[in-house]
Amino acid sequence: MSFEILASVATLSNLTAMLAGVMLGIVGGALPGLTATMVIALLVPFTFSMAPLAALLMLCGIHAGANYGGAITAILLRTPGTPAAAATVLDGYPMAQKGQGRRAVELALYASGIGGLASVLVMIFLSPVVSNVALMFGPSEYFAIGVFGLTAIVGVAGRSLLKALVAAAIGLTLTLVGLDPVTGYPRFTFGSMDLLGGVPFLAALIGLFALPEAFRRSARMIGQLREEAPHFDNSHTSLREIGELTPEAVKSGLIGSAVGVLPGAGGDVAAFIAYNEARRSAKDKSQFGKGDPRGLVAAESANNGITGGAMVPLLTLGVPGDAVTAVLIGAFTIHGIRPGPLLFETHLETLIYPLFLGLIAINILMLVCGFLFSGPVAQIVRLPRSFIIGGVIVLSVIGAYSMQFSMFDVFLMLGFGALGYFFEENDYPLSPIVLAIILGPMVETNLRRGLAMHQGDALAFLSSPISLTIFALAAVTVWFSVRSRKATFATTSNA
Amino acid sequence: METGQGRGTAANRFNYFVAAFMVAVAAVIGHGTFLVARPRGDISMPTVFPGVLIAVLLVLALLLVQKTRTDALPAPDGEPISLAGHIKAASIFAIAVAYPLAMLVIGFPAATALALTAFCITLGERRYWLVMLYALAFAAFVYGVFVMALRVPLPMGLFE
Repeated sequence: MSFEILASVATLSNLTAMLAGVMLGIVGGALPGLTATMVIALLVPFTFSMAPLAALLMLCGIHAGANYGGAITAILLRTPGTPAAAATVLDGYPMAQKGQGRRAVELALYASGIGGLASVLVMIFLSPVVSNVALMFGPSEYFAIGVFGLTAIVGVAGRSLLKALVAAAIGLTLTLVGLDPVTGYPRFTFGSMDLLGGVPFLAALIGLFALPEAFRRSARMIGQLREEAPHFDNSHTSLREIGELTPEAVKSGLIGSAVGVLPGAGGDVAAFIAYNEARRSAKDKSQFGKGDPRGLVAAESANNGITGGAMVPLLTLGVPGDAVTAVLIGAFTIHGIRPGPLLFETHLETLIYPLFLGLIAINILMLVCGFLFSGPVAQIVRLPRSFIIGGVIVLSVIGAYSMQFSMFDVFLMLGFGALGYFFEENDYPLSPIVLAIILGPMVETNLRRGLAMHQGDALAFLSSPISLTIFALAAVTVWFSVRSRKATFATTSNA
Repeated sequence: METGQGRGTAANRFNYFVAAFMVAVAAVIGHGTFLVARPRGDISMPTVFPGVLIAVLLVLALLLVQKTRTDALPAPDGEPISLAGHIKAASIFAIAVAYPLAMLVIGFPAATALALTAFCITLGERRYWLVMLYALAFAAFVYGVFVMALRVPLPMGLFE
């Protein structure tokens, strides 16, 4: 990488974007009820006028910051700011109860940084290899990749796989609206010009990820207006302790990265797998669950390790691995960038390398910002909930409007919000809808192209060794996801 | 407060509703794909994906009904939202719908301040001075970021 690439990242606008992203992510992640996905979905409209690189760096900064921010309230209040911080509670909260809250937050920050950096290195080495292979892909292989991406649904399924499949089917149905991707004929637009371009992605994204939680929080807000004030004590970690825990952090970061590469296995799954591995490999297991720093470091490192790993399928294949990368892929598209192997041919020096460098810088910035601002951020959870809910809804409305300056998008977004409210209340996950909206066109287009190329012979999709391998990988991923889901639920219920 | 059994019943009703909705959607897709006049037999195979989707929707709807009838689906986790809670959420939704409509009439800054005030008061906040301060500051912040910095032409209503 040349000096020019370094210079292209180190501009004032990019550094400001990264800093703002990390800070917003830490604050958003710390606020219970705001997940990384939700914060990114809400803030995508803020990036419209930015250069693509600055916008993507800001969104990646939010992702990394939110993963760490979730740990602050997990440790101090036993309230995971994000689902990925659920495993952090197991040892983080007992440490806070022993009067070591600040030490636990510092260890979580350090582990998040190490996990994030390990995952960026994995991404840097793995992405070019995968993208080179992906350049050989035709319709059969892309169809297989689309199916592989859809296996992510198993990972984000929650408690019922059937309900996740129902949600995904509804998402796929929405992809039928608009112009036929092959022939260009309008279909299922019901005469509406607003639907010719399909269901507006940003409206769906904000409506499904930001609004339902705001409505649900409103519904549950009877008599409780504010969160409990966290107590931030004066305990500190030491360099010696950090040195001792580094191997655990690196190992867990690599576990997180590996899990992140697989579609569907998000930060929560990675954190529980790394936590179980730390407990399995420890000589003295007696303190796990009672405030063992190794458990805390493993969980936090792995949930930040997911950030780079999940970027591999996103950048190289255009396939989102989880809900956050589904939002990121939407942001790429909004900025006119189509993720996939060609990105490594056309934007290698203008986007890919700067993004790699930027992600390293983001993790370093996160360490600095976290060290300086974790205390004040911990106090932000005292904001009245009504302020947060009102702010989220206003930003959702303006965000949906900003994309196409269309009130149709706003009301569609509100409709998705209402749908999401009832779906979540009845245990239907929402991420499969968004994953299906992203992957549906890819699956349909390549299915039809493949069939057309092979005179309608569906078995031809299995004749290519690459597509056969991808289908096999998809089967392995489903098996792995089902197993890790069971392990995650078992660990959660035991805790 | 609903009981666990009550929650299960409500969830079951919702599952049946979703299954019926899926069948209706499959019917609409079938009508739009196979009955309206447009090229269907060409090489681009426009009926393949919708056809597969219809089958998937119908199979999933059947499975949903069958699993619900046999109580094979896990009941939703956590405490159910009470009727009062649903009413509060509906009030917030109603304000959220009124907000963009108000924007078209009184303009985005005033509508934002009013909507935020309404959200906070509906959610039980009674420190009116704080609510007003927050609503005005947030509206000014959003105006500064979206209208002045990002140049988003938000509706100004009568002040256009």
